[in-house]
Amino acid sequence: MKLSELHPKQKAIIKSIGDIGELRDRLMDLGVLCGEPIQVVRIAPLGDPIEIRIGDEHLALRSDDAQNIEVEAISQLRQRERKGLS
Amino acid sequence: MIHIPFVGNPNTGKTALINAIAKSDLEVGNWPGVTIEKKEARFTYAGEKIALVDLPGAYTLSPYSLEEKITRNMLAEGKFEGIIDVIDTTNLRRNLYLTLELIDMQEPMVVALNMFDDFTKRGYELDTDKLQEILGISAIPTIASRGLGTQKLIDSAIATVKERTVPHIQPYQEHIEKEITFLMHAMPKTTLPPRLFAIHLLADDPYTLSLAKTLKQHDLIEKAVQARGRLEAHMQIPIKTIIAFLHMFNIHIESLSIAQKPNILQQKLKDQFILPLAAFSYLVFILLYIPCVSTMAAIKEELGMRWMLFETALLPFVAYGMSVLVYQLGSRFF
Repeated sequence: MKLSELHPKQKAIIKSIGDIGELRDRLMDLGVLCGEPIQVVRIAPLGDPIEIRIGDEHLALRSDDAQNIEVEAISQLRQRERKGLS
Repeated sequence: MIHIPFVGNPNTGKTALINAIAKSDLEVGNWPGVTIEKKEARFTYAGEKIALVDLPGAYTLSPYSLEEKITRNMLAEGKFEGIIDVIDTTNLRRNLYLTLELIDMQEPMVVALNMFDDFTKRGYELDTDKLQEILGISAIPTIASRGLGTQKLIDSAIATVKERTVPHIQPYQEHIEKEITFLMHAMPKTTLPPRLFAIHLLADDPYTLSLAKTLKQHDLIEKAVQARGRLEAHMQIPIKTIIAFLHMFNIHIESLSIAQKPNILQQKLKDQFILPLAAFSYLVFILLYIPCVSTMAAIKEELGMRWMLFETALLPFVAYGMSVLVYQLGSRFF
């Protein structure tokens, strides 16, 4: 699942950060790291940019960049746990 | 002349601190990105000539933006005697990221825990003694906007510079440490601190790489490439990711009880209830839920007891309905 597919208030865990060039290092410096919980706070009226929360930190991302961030929604994770697949 | 650069994340109050200490008049603002170039405030303190160097805010020493490059270049030139690391205490984890990078420079350093009033107001507590013990340097709570703690900060900064108190190394993972030591041994003398130089070479930082190239250290670069290859083969993760991880989590804020969670009830109230809209719909409810006594009396006079009781019983429901309506409709717009 991509970060850009989450809807507001949904929580997820970051799986991997794809090829977004220099921004990747910058995001890592700001705490966007694999395995970290992340939450979409809100999405701008035309769907770009989106505001995310990581720890106590609020960041705004272009949705183009958000498309390259692979996440797993927490509800998905719970479902998998229930099925015993995790 | 003692040069002391102020380094810290954007919008942590570096310039405000300098102004409070040196009684200078540098431009400040309550948004990030006000300081965009290197500025100096000079003054004499206890017979010592001091220049406080104001730098643009940076999240890291591997810069992304132009302002961060200014900060990194100033630090790389090495023309200073000690550093003051300004931390926004309300956002410890992100600020400690830069602090850990600065610690790798192994230069005399003092930490200013700025915005400490805001931090305590949010219900947090900080064990400063423990933080000082971990870092091996003084950490001084300050409130730049009101000029509190500045005296103590400059005193301990001068003491630190004189005694050359360098912070404790916060070790990375064992294999990384080995490669760092290996690279440090192969290193020429430069203005850049050797430990930071080694780490940046490992993490493939372009500036450090070009510096090594201009110094004709092709041997060293080759060694760094090999070291990175060894580590990545061993760990299966890019080295930059590991280092970012360690910078973020090397200091366990929670487990070392440096910060405590704020009062949960208070937080819940703030999060869910006391919003302007909720307050307004509550007001609507209170205004409607039971008619005032004179109204009740008037209804009894005109229509009789039963109508009055009916009215009294009905109105709470009307009030509830109205406040729900106000809240639901309002939350579409706010």
